[in-house]
Amino acid sequence: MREIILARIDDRLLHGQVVVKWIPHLEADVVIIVDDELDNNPFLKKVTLTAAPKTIDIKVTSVDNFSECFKNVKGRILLIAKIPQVFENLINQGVEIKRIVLGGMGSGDNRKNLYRNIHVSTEEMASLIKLADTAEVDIQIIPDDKPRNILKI
Amino acid sequence: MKTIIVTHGDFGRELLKSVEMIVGKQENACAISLNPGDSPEGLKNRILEAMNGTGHICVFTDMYGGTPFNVSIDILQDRYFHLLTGVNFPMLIEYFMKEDMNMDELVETSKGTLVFVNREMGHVQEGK
Repeated sequence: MREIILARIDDRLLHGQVVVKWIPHLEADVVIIVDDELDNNPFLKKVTLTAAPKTIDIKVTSVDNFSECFKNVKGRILLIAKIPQVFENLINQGVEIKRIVLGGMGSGDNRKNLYRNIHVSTEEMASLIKLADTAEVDIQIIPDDKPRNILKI
Repeated sequence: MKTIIVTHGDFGRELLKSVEMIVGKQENACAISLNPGDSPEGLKNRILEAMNGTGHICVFTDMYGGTPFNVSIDILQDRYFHLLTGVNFPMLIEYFMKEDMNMDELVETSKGTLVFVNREMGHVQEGK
């Protein structure tokens, strides 16, 4: 069995809420961080992989190498990326993503505040709307939050 | 040796205060809190400021993958210091008690301080 149970957009990638709340809540077996910058930084990539608790299986991949990484994992999978365009790219590659949550997008870079700690640029909003064609896209910072559908904000 | 404890909220600051009840005031130690709404960049600057000066530095963070940890490894790319994660009370006491603490030894010793007391005593009622 290999199933993407959730794709999360968060510019902090892995952080406390993800480790403590999301991974146990989703009963995720594997977390795949899809980020070209992290994948191209051997030092940070190594720390991310080697310092992880033994209870979490973490992978780091670039967008281009995603399918290679994906075929080597099993179970319930959580994807994390910084921006929606990454998931749009994966869907165009044929990857099946049914549910996407926005968990954290910082201000700056011409981003406008959408809701609490979620800020989006015009391009990111366009990408999110495109994603909403094929996936459920919600703002949900932690699992305890009620999901807010992106099309109803 | 300069010691910096970086944690979610005031855990580190209070931990240091509690540890000092046992080992006495530590002049070369400080704690940095990440509070709700603080940016990673702001936290990074506060850590860099605390690192100012000469001598060896040891940074303790609370949890792998947390922002205090993530920001610390970002700094670790550019300068050398000891970085530990999973800081707790017995670990920090052990660290301050010994001069020139060996970090591998500290981690190994600390693992031994986690005890399910009932199990060790053979006093476990199964199902509870």
